[in-house]
Amino acid sequence: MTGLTAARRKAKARKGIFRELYETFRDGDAGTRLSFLVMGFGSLVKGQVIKGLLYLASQALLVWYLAGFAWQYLRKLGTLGDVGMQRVWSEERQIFVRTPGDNSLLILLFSVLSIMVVLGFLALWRANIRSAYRAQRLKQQGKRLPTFADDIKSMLDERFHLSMLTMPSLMVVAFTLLPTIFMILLAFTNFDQAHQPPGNMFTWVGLDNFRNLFGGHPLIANTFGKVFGWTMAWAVLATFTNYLLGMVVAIMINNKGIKLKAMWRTIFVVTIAVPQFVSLMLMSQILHDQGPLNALLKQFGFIEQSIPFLTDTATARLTILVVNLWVGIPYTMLITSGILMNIPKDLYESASIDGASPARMFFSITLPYMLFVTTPYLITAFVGNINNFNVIFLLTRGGPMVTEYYQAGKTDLLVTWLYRLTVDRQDYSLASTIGIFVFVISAGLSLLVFNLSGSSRREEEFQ
Amino acid sequence: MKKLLSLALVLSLALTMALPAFAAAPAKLKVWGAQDDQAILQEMVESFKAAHPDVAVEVEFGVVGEPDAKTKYLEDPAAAADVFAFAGDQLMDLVAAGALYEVTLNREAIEAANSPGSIEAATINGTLYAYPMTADNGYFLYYDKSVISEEQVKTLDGILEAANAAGQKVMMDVSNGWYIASFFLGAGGKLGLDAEGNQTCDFNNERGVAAGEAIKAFTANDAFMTGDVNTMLPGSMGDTIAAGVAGTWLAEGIQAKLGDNYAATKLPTFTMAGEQVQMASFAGYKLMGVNSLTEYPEEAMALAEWFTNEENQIKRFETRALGPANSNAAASEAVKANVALGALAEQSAFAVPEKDVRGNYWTPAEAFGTTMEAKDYSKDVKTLLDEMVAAITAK
Amino acid sequence: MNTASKPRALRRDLVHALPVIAALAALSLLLPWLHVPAPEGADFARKGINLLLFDRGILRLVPLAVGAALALLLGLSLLGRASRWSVRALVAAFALAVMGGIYTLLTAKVTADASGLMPQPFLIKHLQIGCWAFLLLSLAGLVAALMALRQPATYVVLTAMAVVWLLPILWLLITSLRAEAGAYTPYIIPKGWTLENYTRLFTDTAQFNFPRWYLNTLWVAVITCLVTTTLVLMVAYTLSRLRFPSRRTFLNLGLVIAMFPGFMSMIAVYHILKAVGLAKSLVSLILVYSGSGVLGYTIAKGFFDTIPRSLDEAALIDGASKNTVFWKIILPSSRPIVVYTAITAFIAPWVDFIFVSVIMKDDYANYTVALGLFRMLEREHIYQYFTRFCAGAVLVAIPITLLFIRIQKFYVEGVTGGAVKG
Repeated sequence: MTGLTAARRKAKARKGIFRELYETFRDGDAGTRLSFLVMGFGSLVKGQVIKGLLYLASQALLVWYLAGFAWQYLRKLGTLGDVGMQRVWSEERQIFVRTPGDNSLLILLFSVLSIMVVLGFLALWRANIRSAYRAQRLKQQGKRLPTFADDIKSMLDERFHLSMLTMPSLMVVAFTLLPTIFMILLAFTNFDQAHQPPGNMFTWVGLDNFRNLFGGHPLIANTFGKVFGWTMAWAVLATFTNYLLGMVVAIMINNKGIKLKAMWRTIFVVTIAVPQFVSLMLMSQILHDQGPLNALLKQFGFIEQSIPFLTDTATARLTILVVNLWVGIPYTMLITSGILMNIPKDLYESASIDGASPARMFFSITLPYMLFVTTPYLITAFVGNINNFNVIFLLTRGGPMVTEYYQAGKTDLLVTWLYRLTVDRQDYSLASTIGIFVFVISAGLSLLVFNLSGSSRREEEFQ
Repeated sequence: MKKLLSLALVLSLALTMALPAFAAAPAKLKVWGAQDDQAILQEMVESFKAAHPDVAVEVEFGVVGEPDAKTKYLEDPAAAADVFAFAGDQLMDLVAAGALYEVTLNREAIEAANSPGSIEAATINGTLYAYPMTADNGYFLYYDKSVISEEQVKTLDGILEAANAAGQKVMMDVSNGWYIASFFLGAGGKLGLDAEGNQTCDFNNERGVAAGEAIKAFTANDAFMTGDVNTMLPGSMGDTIAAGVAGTWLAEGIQAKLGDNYAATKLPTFTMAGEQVQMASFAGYKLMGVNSLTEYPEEAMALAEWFTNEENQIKRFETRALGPANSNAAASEAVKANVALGALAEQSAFAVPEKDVRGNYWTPAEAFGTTMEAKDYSKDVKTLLDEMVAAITAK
Repeated sequence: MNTASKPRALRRDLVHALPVIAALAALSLLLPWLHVPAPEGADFARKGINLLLFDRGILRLVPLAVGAALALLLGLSLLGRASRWSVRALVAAFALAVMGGIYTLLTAKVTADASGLMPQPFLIKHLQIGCWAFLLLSLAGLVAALMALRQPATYVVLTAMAVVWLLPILWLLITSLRAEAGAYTPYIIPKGWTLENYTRLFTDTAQFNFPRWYLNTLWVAVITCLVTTTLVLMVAYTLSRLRFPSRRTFLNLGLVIAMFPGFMSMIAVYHILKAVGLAKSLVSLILVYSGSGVLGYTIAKGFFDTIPRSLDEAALIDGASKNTVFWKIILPSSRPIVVYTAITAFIAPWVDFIFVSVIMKDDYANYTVALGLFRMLEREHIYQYFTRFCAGAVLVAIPITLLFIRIQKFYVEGVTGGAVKG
């Protein structure tokens, strides 16, 4: 690959993998052709011993892995298990002797894992063939073959990106991608209360869960619509109130005349340092119907009846928005204050010569500039709010609950709802279906904005 | 690149393969119990070993409290304990998941030793699935003797009247399916399971609606107060709260707060369509079960039986004031002298097993309670109950 | 407000308004006594004035408000000369008046109750009208005086916000020092003070092994911090600086991959870790936190995008490899983003309580602080352990706060550089 220019590489990619494989096989010598079957063969016969052995070892490992571990799961992927737990009465021991049956969850999970391992292996296999073919070509041209040391060196330079990305990618695949695929697949199964291991198996049910969610089951569908509506309203309100007010705070602190800037910032930052579950827990206590805030307000004579901060629909929704401000403004303040300092000063100077008021300057200069520059942050915040589990769960637990919803309350977001579905009802299949929906919305929106927004197109501009 | 990739692959594959599988001579058993119970469980294991020198066991402990047992079990049954304690309301879900070993060894002796209520709470379709461990997971009424008289405490109306006269509150967490059920169950409502194990509920029938109206009247009373009983009762009883519904786990705190005025009794009767109806409750038992995946069923059963025998139930009472399910243990003078356990025992005559309640019940019941507490009367009680029952029995 | 370097002149128009505001504020304190209802009026007014002057109960109402009013008059008398100093004194006087007003407002009902004038609702109602008027006028005066000095009046807003932001934290602190047990108290100031909640966290470990969990968390946090920072910088640098075929795919995938609700996948993650023999270990926590931390590379990438490319090109021309460029050129100029990434990674283990409970299951000894603290809130424990829970939370917050204060500057710069470009 060392000799390949980017252009040729592109041309090759366009040709298609199978075409490339075919041509390699056609033009390859015996060593290259045997590499199709025995990995590393081509490298070995041409003297690239270490490389060849590594390829060979990986192939041996795959065989061992498939035979020893993966096959028992993969072969049951179609049904997700066919042998249930066996139970036989033993007169002698006076107990039911049991033999554990298949575990659908593990079958699904490890099948996904194995498929990914095999895909990874196929990439390695293709690289092995390319490497053999390249070695063959170089030899035919009478050039020196790259030694193992050369390969290592190239890992630090022209193929540096691979060295850098391999480890992080593996971790992301193991802890994010694989579980995500697994959860997405659960949406097509009936993994719910009635199909819990170890005694039961679950199986594929096609699109049943989606049908239920989008109308087939009126109660669920209706709840889904309402909860989704509030989720979006919450995400928009929470994001923009936080953004605007956080920026206002940043502007106030950044004001030339203000002294002790670091102190003001620190005051807000302290609230970041207290773990969110602690501060939100405290907030829910403080705001309780009989909590200290209500007690104090009564003591001061401001109110006679407790204010239902967390138990009345409208008040609770307002409360969580306000508490979310308390949680979020410090972050926004930190993020925006640096950017604010970067706004070109001459913009303001010419405006103030024209006699513009501070408010006017904010709306005609500051805000447009900030919106332009921080679109990526805004989108991240928006998606974060769609999935804002902590604030809802720790403050209201989704309450106030209402009878016309299916296992949900008026401040429930889709995420907190699906959390309750898994905890109370072990209804993983329905929860996954909702999860997919959340994912599609968040991901679609982010991709759209990131790829269309200025920041992506201007990527090269700053450099 | 290939080298690095293959190295990483080799590594991950090697790790994947390293699945341990051992089987040694003594029966290796894992036991789950609450953190508060760890010390006492260890002592019980020692006495078990002393009493059964012929049974070789090696016991390891894990901390999973009774309320979390089901969740933790279902996350990974294979890694769950061989013997574990759980709250009675989880029985149905655990049995449905095939998680529990049927109790077949010494069944008669176990059934004879423990109270009928506790045995019923551990039995499904004639099969005993668990060993009764404690009978303290229910609720009853705590009250302040100086505010409410023994006569007044018998009826909800009397209690409210006394509290109003003293300018104090009566606390009950009505927006909680566990507590609000007292009214419906007292009125004769039934929570059950159909043939497929789905929840059935008749709280929206005529008597259910009458009970709903009683809840409405209760929550509308000036003295009514709701909230998290666990945080509020020990802090405010004697100051602003005259009576509250909760369980034994608050006894220590409330007794400390109320001192000589500390008292507890069964739940009162409430007025429903003109008649006095006794409030029922969920009979809360904590049970011990044997994991159906255990490799050593006999040893595990022996250990579970030991953990829940008379001697050890007494031990639990003595060290942690946990009410025994064992009939002899419960009949002891010491247990009877415990005010909270006495109240619970009184209430147990009106208690309904919790095993027929599945996960779908709680949120809709909370929703009804919340609506009543918020005094949101935009829908009538019948409509609300219809919606509640529809949500409980859905799917 | 843009003034040159010479001493800034007072704004005369506002200076003239100040005495008026001050006088109005002082007068408004008398409002309650102007509004005595007719029937028993005369008698009542006399009683009220007597109380104001002599009764000990009503005296609680007086000190701050009257003190503030006096300060006001003092400021007024200085106004004849209207120097910067006199206006400054006036700012102090108004600030004092605002505090006095708030205090009076909050204690009005208590005071009226204590004075024995209740249950006449008139007093409390009109007392409050007077207090509100006083408070608002004092506030207006404060703002006006600040503006007269050509100082930003936003100090007032910032102070108010600071109070709102700090009160819950203060409450946490107070509760952690409370002697009496219990999760809920209808009062704020404890009846007794103690440090025992802190000491018992470390001595009383049979139930809740706080020191062990603290060390666990510290260890996990430090290693996670190192691993995540390294990985994030690697990914961010690669995607910012290197151009390779699948780069855009990587960017888009990395963007959306973490958007599936996270806790849904925890059980899967647990089984994967178990399959490789790492379940219930601190190492698995490090892996999980780093694994999800890696996806936070976008901000770091944005930061790298802003470092001029000419720097590395020059080095490449001089024959340095890309590896050298990363270590010798990019990294040294990226201190802010390194700090930002490190802090974010360091904090994660301290605040997560859901993931760790799925991973650790029954293994109490390997809990982290967050999960351990969460356990203290279970219904059996909350009464006895709530104050200790607060103490534990304070102990968690202290190191993070100190860290933040020390490296706040880098944090701001890092996140600024990064968020701009994302």
